[in-house]
Amino acid sequence: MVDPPPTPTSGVIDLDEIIHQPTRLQVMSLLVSVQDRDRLAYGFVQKHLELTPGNLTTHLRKLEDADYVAITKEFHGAKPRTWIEATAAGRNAFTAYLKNLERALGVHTGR
Amino acid sequence: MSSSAMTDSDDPAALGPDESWETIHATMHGARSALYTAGSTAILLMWGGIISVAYLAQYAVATFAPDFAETYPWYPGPLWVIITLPGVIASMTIGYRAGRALSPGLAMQHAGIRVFGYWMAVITAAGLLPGAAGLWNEAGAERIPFVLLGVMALGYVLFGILNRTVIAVFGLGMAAAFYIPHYVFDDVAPAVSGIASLLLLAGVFAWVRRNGEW
Repeated sequence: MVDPPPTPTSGVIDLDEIIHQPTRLQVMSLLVSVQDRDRLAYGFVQKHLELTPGNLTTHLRKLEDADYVAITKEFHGAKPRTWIEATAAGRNAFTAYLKNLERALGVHTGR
Repeated sequence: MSSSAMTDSDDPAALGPDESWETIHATMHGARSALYTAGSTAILLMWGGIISVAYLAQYAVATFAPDFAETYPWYPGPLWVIITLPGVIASMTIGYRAGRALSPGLAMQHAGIRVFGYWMAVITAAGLLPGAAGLWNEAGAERIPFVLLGVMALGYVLFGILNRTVIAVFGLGMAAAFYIPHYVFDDVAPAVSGIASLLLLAGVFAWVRRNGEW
């Protein structure tokens, strides 16, 4: 794991409250860890983050309402599959969240 | 976009900056490992079975067809290739299908290519190192399995350390199931190795079941 940079002693940083919630932060981290327009299976996200279906669905609804994720349902033969992907708006919001987080942690990225 | 001031957030579930940073990195690392190890439980269990069958078949030939074993002392080589080759193909198929079930896009393709490249490198090293050590001749042929299996076990251990502990444990168990019986049990070593591999298979099954890491 990457060690976090030192925390600044002062300053108030605005963070996107849709993302800045433990479960939704994990969901978004997972979704943006794959390439643009790549999708992850609902079951994989649920199992990987050790969430109940109800819990995951609740958080996905919030992210979907913010247009941060898109959910698609498909049938593979008779088997239904649900896919989740980060939208362009979601990826932008996550990038902005990261930049603000870096500022909060006092990271000087030089960008 | 709605926002909140992190330093004075009234959300009891809100994360501090350090925790957020760690959560992001841990989740992303975990996601990559999950893609690299898609289908690995089934693959490990399958290999535990394949290795057991190969050892027991080797022992069976030496015991029940001693004339054949004496005439063709190199028979374990082709025997292992015949038994393990379907396992290589099955591993690729299982990994591909499991990966597609997690993510059908480029991320999985890239992960699949990396995993395939990793194992091809390990298999190539296992084949080349005995040659580099000067064992590809009649006098050294007997020692080839020792190098080959050591490199394969190392491959499992390294991959497991990076991605999934049970894979590293499998590698150590595979090495122990080969080397210890060889030095302790002499002629019946393949049979003991076969049984030890079955025990390893049971151990992996119990580990996965206990941790719920299917």
